[in-house]
Amino acid sequence: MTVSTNTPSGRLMDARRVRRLLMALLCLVALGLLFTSYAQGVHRRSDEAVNFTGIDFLLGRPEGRSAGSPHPMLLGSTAALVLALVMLIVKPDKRFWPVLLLLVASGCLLMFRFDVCYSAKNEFSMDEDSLSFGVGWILSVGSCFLAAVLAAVDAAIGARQARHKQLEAIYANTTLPGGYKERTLKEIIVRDFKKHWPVYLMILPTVIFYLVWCYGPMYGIVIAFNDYSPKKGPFGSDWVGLRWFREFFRSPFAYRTIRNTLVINFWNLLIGFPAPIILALMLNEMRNMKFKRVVQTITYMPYFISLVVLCGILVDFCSTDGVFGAIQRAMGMDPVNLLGDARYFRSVYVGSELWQKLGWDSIIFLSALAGIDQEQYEAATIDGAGKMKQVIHVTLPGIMPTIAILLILRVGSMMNVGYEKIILLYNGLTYETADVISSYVYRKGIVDADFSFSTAVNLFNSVINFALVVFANKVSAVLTETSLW
Amino acid sequence: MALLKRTPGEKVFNVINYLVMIVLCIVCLYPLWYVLVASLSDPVQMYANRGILLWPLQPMTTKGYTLVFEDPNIPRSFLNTLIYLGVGTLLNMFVTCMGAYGLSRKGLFWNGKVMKLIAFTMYFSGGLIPFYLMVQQMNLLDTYSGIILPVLVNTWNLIVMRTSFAGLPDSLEESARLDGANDWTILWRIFLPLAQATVAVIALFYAVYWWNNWFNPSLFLQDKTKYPLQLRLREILLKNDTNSMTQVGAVGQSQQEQYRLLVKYCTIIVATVPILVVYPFLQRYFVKGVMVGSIKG
Repeated sequence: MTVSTNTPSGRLMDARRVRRLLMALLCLVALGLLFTSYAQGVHRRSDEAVNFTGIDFLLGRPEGRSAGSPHPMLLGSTAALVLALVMLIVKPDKRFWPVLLLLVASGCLLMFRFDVCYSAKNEFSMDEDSLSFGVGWILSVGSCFLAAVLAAVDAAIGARQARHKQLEAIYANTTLPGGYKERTLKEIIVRDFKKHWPVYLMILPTVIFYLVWCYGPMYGIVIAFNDYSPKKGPFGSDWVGLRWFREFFRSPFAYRTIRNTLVINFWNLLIGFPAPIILALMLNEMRNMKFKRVVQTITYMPYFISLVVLCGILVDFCSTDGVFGAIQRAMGMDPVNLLGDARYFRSVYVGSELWQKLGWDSIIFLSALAGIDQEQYEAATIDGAGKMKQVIHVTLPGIMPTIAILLILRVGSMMNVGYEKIILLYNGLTYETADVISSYVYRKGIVDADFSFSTAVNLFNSVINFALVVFANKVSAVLTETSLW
Repeated sequence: MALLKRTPGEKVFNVINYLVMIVLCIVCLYPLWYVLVASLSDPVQMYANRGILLWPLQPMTTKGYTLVFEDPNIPRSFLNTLIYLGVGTLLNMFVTCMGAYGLSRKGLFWNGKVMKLIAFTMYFSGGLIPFYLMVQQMNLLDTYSGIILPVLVNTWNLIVMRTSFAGLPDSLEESARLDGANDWTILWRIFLPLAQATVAVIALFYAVYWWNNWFNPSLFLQDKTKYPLQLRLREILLKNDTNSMTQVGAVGQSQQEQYRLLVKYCTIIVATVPILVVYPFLQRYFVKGVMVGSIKG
């Protein structure tokens, strides 16, 4: 418990206690409504009248819906609500987490409600005229959301109090001319704006850009949960809940695209990551500076060939009468079109990536190598270490931090393959090994105009990517003390 | 260094090292050499027996280049790319400089929050279709603005520039203010010249983006007269759409296929030579750019 000793008359603490109590009550109400409210409907095939409560969905009872597994959204919201409740009781000074948990719970509840009531895939149809048509769940969402708002208010008040306390501490220790006047957030903001408005004016175009072009499309994610039709707009279209996600995971494409994404990334990492390091080490051993510079210029060059031209050349080289065909013939093999055969697509992809990026990626390692103290080499030589031992004991440890952070970042983007190169190179013959998540999103969305489905797949991929990046960054922060944010 | 004496093992290593490097250089250069040689070869000869070319097949011809330059689409798309590159880079730099300057100022109430919002977009986005719908909603399909506006600021570039501005000493700003300079003057007269190297690198990165840009235009443009060069190249190289060049009177019906191939090689050369000509002069900036990016805060 946070026991207040320095707030006047303990009034604030009492208000806080009331808020917490209210939040806990609202949570309980939400949970109760969630489990006990029921909906009436008709089984689509047998025309049997059915009547189920939230508990049925938690136990996965509505037969045929999800083969006996609990409704995921219901499960999620229950977990979030219970966790929030526990936090409110056990950890009263954690003020931010309940907000997040309660918001998540409200979101899940809302999706659950729409999914149950409107999803066209359901085995039963809800009686929309019935009085109990999902009303209880709507109330549940409402009270959950109210609790979230209350928690947010509480968190804001808490933050302000903490800030004031901090400022008071600073004020007590220093004698600022004029004294500390700002008391409220509003005053701080107004004063800040009056003082800095020209700077804010300069930031404005950037902020507008991000709001319109980066956050604007984020609202569009809503179409992943409905059946988007251009006439009705992204918010007016029929709600289908998680239908597209289910459809994706039940289709063979889910396995194929996820596998291809991982496999291509894995090979790219296995071959494309150590190669620049080796090149940098070899370049580092060159004594002839002029030759070294020429090699560098030439190996960086492929990086500047545009992707379209690179793919054009590649397609030409890979055809049966192209350069690779001629090489195959010279080796006594029957020439195969490398880009027309699913077995070779990955090799061509990884190989061309290597060709284009090898030199360029070595730059960063070369600069790390240049940063190694020369005295270390001299000391190693005096100790009798040969070239090989110097590489192992001096050079590699010297560039290890660079290697570690780049490796972690690459692992963080394991589920992310750019679609640009793939869609330039693949064709119907090579989909089996070439089709990755992002290219599938492109094909479904742009070519087949299946907007909602494509957005759902994309959202799945983005969420995984985001989680991986956050995870990689955490690992990097712990291991190398370098983090992206 | 008194350590120049080499053991036999090191000598062997050295020879291998040089050999590997030479092979690597050949591998890097050969594809371009091949395309160059092929673009000058006799189309009939080449169509019959391509394979590994080291020298143009006789009789040498420059007819492919004539066809490429006579085609109205290529100069048009070249001009478009120059428009996108010029206007786009200028706008990019204008907005990015102002944003980076503003966000690098300390003690502003909103700055930290805005930076968090911006950084978040690097790791999460609405995705392809919502982005497309946004452009559609703003009625920007098939317009020049529809290509430029959605990519006005690159988050990475913004952050790099902000870091370099934040690294300039505070005393500069203070003394300028005492002399009566406002934020606008401080940015353009003092900060920009001082951070010249970074600004050049960022401008270069934007320019390279515009030069290589083909994906967004392929989504947003129907009107072929607005196509940038790379998109036109995609049609020629990957969709085999060379009719506008090979079906003019100069090429006989029987030689269509042969000239198709020749024209492709010539187009590659025409589209790649500009960048390869300027590349050696800019290399140092690009290399610097890699460093700047890697030490960002």
